[in-house]
Amino acid sequence: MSKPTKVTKIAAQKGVAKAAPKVAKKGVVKAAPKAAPKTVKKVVAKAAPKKSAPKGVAKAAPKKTSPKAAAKAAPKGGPKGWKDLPMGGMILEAGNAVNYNTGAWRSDRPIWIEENCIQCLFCWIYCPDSSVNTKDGKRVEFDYGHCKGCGVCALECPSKVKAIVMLTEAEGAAPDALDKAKAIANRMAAEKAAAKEKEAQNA
Amino acid sequence: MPKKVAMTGNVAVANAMRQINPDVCAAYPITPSTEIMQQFSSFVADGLVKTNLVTVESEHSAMSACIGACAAGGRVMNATSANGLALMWEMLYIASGNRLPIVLSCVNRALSAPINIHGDHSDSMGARDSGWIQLYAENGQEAYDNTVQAPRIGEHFDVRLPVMSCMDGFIISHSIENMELLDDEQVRGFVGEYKSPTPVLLDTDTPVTFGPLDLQDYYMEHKKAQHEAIKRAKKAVIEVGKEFGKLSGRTYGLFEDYKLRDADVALVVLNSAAGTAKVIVDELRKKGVKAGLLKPRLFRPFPATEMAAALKNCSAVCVMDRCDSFGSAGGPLFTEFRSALYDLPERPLMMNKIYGLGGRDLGLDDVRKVFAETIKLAESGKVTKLYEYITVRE
Repeated sequence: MSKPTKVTKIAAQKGVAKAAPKVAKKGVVKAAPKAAPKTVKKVVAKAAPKKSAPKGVAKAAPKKTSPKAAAKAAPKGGPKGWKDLPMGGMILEAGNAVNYNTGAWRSDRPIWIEENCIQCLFCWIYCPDSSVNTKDGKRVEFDYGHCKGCGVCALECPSKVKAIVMLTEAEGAAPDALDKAKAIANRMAAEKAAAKEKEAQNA
Repeated sequence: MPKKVAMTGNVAVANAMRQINPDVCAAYPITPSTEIMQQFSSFVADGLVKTNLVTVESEHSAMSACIGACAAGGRVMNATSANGLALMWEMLYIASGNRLPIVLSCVNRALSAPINIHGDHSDSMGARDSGWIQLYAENGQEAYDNTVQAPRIGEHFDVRLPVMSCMDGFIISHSIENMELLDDEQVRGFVGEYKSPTPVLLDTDTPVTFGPLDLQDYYMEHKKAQHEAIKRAKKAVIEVGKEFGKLSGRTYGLFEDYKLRDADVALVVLNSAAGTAKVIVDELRKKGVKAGLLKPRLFRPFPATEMAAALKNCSAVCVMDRCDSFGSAGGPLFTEFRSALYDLPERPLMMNKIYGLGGRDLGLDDVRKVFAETIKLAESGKVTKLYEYITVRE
């Protein structure tokens, strides 16, 4: 943590903050013509010192969930002004995606059925968001704070009776979610077995 | 010691690149810029540079490769023209938005359709809002000099923006002229080691992310920072131009004012046609007409106050555009200059001529006519034709 912060400071000082205010001032003052209507000056003067950070938006975005807020927020808190940002939107803090709770994007929720799980860890490998938690080399419950509900884990689950089943977010949040998931897993297994049998008969 | 050579503009630029010895170059050929990378690739093959030359499948990929290599921490150069630049469009904005000081040699050529391979400014003028610094060159010497200065300008810690160094296709790129090349050591000493004020991608001890998602909460702040950065480029261009002058004897500024100080009528001409216009300025001066010329060198950022100050004593100014801005109030140079002069207490009368599209020649007689019209404008005080094509058949 200490390293990136240092770098942020250097970047801000050297790259952005240095000559900025001078140039801005000069440009404004020079450009304001003698013959120009007075309103021009007034408008410019008013607009210049104001920081244009949209307060409403900043408030609406919860601090803990935004990686940008985490990466860029001043120690005092609150959104930074343009002079204090790393150049080009660069994020200087590695691994800050953990601060961004993308779980709220989810419309489908994976349900883990522990009794069906063979601990192959395919789900852990395939998950694009590192949302399969592990403990002592075995998978445990999903990280719903980050799971976007893409369903790759459920698709890749090789267990004969699926150990991961996708429900809608509403169903998945209900108290009977696990039972529902189990029923679906069993039905899928039965359907698969029936299809296989049919195939064998046809052959 | 600098040595006198006879070279085409393209070969001169390729030699500037050889002397700069960039870490990475991406190459995809397009006339008339092909010769630059063709020459440069032979320098690579001969081991004269340590550049990693990436041959890609399109200009979009060329600029993408440049962006990646620059973000990784390399000094990066590239060359293109016309439709090649158009295909880079998306990536141009990404290069500048990510604040990557890539240097692109743009050999100006007309954009299709109809297909035309000759020189006009519709390619680089179309990219004027892409956040790139733009330098223009009258001849091969200036194209070489600008290429040597470009890395220093873009990489300046107060700037950090990509630079487009432009010259006219064929007229300059393929014409052999006498010029002076600096020594390899001089150029290497002038450009120095590539340094970045921020961590780079290959700096694995300090991992960073380039080009992340940036929504309503921060995008505008980043654009404001970019807005200020390109404004600061003006200072860097002057600084670097002065230092280059000490090295080469050729000092560069924001623009060239040719017999402009006491001029009553003036033309504004970009690139090679400025050379033609200077001949007529001299001719008129001999006749006692106070004629002058302003040749912009830095077009982005546009040094509006400085250019306005240089033209403020003129009665009439004709801005010549080698590119149309279809449906606009004038060519790209004209609208910019007219806007810059608006703040003068006493403004010169102005008009705009579109010339030389698709490489159409602009002869001495054509410039003579334009000057005659400008003089008439100064005398009559009335603008009859604000924005029109010249050297075109009815």
